[in-house]
Order: sequence, then C-alpha cells, then structure tokens
Amino acid sequence: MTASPRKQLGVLLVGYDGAGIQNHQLDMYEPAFAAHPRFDIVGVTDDAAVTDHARYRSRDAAARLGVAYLDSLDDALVRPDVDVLSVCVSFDRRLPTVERAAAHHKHMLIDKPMALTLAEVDRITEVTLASEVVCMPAHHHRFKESIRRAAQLVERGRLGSLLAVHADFLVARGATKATAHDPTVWPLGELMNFTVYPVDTIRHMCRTEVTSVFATRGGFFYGGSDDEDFGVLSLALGDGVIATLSVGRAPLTGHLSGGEHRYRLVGSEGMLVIDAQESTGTLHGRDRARRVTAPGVTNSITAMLDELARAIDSRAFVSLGPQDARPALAVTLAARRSAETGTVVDL
Amino acid sequence: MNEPIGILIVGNDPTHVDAVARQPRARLVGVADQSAEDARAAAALLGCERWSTDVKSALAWPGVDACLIDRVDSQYEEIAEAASAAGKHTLALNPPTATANLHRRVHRRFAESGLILLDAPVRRMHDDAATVRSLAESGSLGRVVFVRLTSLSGSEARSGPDETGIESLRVEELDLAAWWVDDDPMSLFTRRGGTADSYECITLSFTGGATAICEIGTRAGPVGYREAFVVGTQGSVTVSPSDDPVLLLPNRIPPSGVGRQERARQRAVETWLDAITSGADTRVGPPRHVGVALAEAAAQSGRSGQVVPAHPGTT
Repeated sequence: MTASPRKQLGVLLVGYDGAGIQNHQLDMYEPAFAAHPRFDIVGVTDDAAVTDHARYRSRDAAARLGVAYLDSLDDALVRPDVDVLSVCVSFDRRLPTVERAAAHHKHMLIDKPMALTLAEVDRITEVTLASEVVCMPAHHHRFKESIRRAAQLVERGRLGSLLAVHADFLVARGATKATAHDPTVWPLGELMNFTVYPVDTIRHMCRTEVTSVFATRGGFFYGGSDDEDFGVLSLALGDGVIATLSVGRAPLTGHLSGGEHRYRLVGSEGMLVIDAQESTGTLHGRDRARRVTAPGVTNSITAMLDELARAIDSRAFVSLGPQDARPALAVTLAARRSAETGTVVDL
Repeated sequence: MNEPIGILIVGNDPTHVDAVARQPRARLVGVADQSAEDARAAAALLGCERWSTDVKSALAWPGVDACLIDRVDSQYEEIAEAASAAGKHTLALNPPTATANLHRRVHRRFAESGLILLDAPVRRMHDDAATVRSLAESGSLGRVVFVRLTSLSGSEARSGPDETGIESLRVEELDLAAWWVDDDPMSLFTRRGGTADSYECITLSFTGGATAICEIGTRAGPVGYREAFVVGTQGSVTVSPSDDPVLLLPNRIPPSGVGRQERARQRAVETWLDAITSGADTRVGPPRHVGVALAEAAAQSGRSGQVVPAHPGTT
C-alpha cells in the first residue's frame, strides 16, 4: 500500500517590504519557497497601501517567477490555489493583512519580528487560533542543524542540569544580498531586528522562559547613539538558568566575513559549544577571510519550510507559532526598557 | 652593566618564584616565611644564601633591594607596610581579594614613598590578556565596546595550583575586563547560579557605553576553561581555550595549557623589574584596589539582585 501523495501547497508572496532596505522576501523566503518540493509559488500581491516603488518591486518579482501579479490582496485571498501566504508587508500594515488572511483561512509564514507591539502579537494569535490556520513567525535559526542537535542533547540530559547559555550574534554584512558589502544599521535598531533570533533559539534549546532582563545598548559602529547597532543582554530563565547574549551589526572592516554566531551551554555534566554558522573551516582567498560550510548542509529556511508543510499537513502539533513570537518580542522590549532605565526588568 | 637587583622572597612556594630565579637582572637574596622549615627548604631549593621567619629583619639584610610577596593571608598589609617602610620596591604576586580599602592604603603608602608596587592580578600577565590589551592599545580594535570573558574551574573540586575561589576569579576577571576596555566602570549586575552560588555572570557597564560580561565558576565547565571575545569599533578578536602554544591533551581530563601560569609570572616579574630599572610605568592598568572594588560591588549585586554602582576609584 502506498501513501496518498500530499497536495502541493500554493504560496502567495505578499509584499517585498521591510524596514529600511531589508528585503527578506527577496533574499530569503522567495528562493526557499521556489526551491521547496512541497510548495508552488502561485502569485505575488501587495497590501493596497504600498508605495508605487514597492508595487513595482513585486511586479518585477512576479515577472521573474513567471506567476501572476494580483492587484488586490482580497481578490488573491479568495483564490482556491492559495494555501499559504508569505507575509513581508510593512509593520503598520501587518496586522490588517494577517486578519484578512485568517478570515479566508489561509496559513501564513510571517517575517520576523512578527510585530512591534505585544498587543499586535496577541491579536495575531487570537485571529489565527480562531481560524485554525498555521501562523509561523520566521524564527528560522531554531531550525539550524546545529541548534536542533543541541536541543536534542539538552533534552536527553547529556549536559546534566543546565546552568547557563551564552550567545554571540554579531552580523558583519549588509541587510540584503545586494548590500552585503555595505552594511548600515537597521532603522528600528538592531536589538529589535536581531534579539528575536537568539532568544527564540535559547528558549527552544532550554525549554524554559525568560523571567527577567538586564541590558545595555549603544550605537558604536555607525555613528551616533540613536543608531542602535549593538546590545548586550543578561537574562534569567526558569529553572535557575542564566543566559547572556550580544547582538548587533558590525562593519565589514576588522570582522570575519559574515560575523560571529555561536552558543555555549554550560551544564552540570558538560559544556556544549555551538558554531551556529555551521562552518567547517575558514577560507583565506582573494577576498576577505570567510567561513565555509560543507556542501549539502540543510539551509535553516528550507528546514523551517519543511516544518511549515508538516504543520499544515497535520495540524496536530505546530511547533512554532505566535506563542513563540510573543516572548521573543517581550524580551526585546524589556531589553530596551532596561537599557534606558539602567534597571532589571521582570517579565 | 648594572648590578642585579637583590630580591627577598616572602613566601615558600619555589615554583612561584622560578620566574625571578631565571631573570638575569635579578638575584635571589633570601627567603622569609612564617615556617622555619618551609623557609629553609625553599631557600635551599632556590639556592639562596639566607632564610628567616622574621620579614622585617630579612628586609634589612644587605643586598635586598626589592621584595616579592607570594602569600595570601591576613598579614599582607603588614608585610607590604614593612617593605615600604624599609624602602623596598615590591611585587605582590597573589595579594588577597579583600578589601579595596586595604589595597588603597597599601598603594598610597608606596606612592608616598616613591616606591614601585606592582600588585595587579597575575591574570593580567597571561598571554591572552596581554594579547588583547596590546591589540586594544595599538588601535587594531578601535574602541573596545564589548568583552565576553569566561573563566571556569571545572565541575569537580580538585587540588592544584589552578584551584581558585570565586572571590579570586571575580577580582581577576573584572580587573581584566576593566583593563581591556580602559574606561571608567559605571555599574554592575550579577546573576548567580550553580551549587552554592559557585557560578556568576557579571555585567559590567562603562561610562563610555562599553559592556563586559564576566562569566566565572568554581564548580562548572571543563577544568581551566577560558575564553574571550572582544569587540571593538574597528574589529574583534576571539581568544580560544586552546590559546596556549603548548597544549596538553590527556585522556581523562580536558586539555590545558602548559606553562601558562609560568609565563604570566615571568611577565609580571619582567614588568616589575622594568619599572625598577628604567622607571617604566608600573601601572599596567588599574591597581589592585580597582579590581577588588569591582568584585565587592559584584558580590553586593549578586546578594541583592540589583544593579549597583561601581566606584572603584583610581588613586
């Protein structure tokens, strides 16, 4: 007896927007969906309020992909071949987009951070739960092979009692592929941009929640304290676990190409050192030295889409949802408050 | 050529003063220790002419130009005071971790006498410490804005020269972070964990905006695990646990460097002798009381769970 073939999932790419020049739809989600065997991109659309420039970008993408550009999001949402939305609309238009998609029972992958306020995350949680759709924030770092293996080792007790986790996530490249060699600070600050990744990863590996935050932040690399490009967090988690993390965007000069991305877990029985860049060596060639990865290593975004497809197929257990976006955002907001007041902020 | 500097050793561990014995600029004159047996044995082993149980009289021996204190005990201040009263330059290899006021008093006494006192933690003389400091000083890193510093003693209690208490680690690592950042410490926040609060993560903030995370533990991690990650405005440097040029890889315990402590002691002695012979700056960063004051503040934060101000003082 053979299993019945699973239905291909139709993907609607909604928006090529991001704060500043960031364009995750173009650089991350579009190519991953296009290459994934379970998904077919069936169209591109925008929120009605987008600028002409943004709409031009989306039309260009549709032409490049050989799919229809749909002028109206509402018209696109009634199409039966649309199962999943890849949502990269501006933050001020994100909640209304999600509400409309949920009303049409469409599943969603939502760019990170999912929203800028806890109230918006709560509303997204509410509408997607009510519509019984899968709503996945794009916290793809937890799907890295190294992180998955680490989480398994922790779960199996190989480290004994977990004492602490330490993370450094320092990006030394631009916000897009096109500007990789010309990094600038994210307009909303790199704490808001990046903190979600290590916090989600730490929560995922430790299976416990952050209870208090102390943080510092500054604008060191791009001139001016208003340009928040670097932050340091000290966290308390459940079960007495301590975490520290540094997050930021450094210039290319003086930093290894790509930056640093690592975790170190300290347990009563052992220590786990994780190279989250999953590199196997360092290449010293004609260009700046950079880490190289073995061919065939599964990309974390592809692995995230695997999980998205699985969640849509089964609906029995969705491992990543708005309930994970909320604590990550709460820590980010608490970190900013802590840095501003110089105090410890309890969650 | 100048005469070698005559040195009195106060303490009884010959391995700790091997760095002096190998210095052509120095000559060991004798050993003073509370225990006659230990003093005699150490003197014999080091090839010294004299030994005594009385530090004050030993300081008056002919040929003693300087004093190396290698003891951690309640008599440190008394010995240091005797050395300054006798007009002897002093190197304190392993001074006590408490209190900042004690170290301020000792420092003031030497400064008033125009004598050289090097009492910084020897940790500052280790290869990784010296490397990062030199990179920071050379401008290769730009302005240092972040330091992650780890020093773990291993999850199992053990004996040996590397065994150290949490108080000592606090002083050493905070001192090192402050030395690397080279700015005025502003506040500290300590999170404690582990068995009997044997593990701490201290966040040290500086007035210029830099932050240091000092992770220390006496019952955590692989034995002797050290790591540093330093980010500057112009670059970053990672010092791995295997920074030693000679690495011992035993089958039953984690790898450890060979000669790390010895080189650090040698560097401390050389720095001290440089200062005595040429008047070079002995400060090599903040004096002892800065690190001790930071450690006291960190301990206070750990007890209270609050962010506390850092007022280490600099004089």
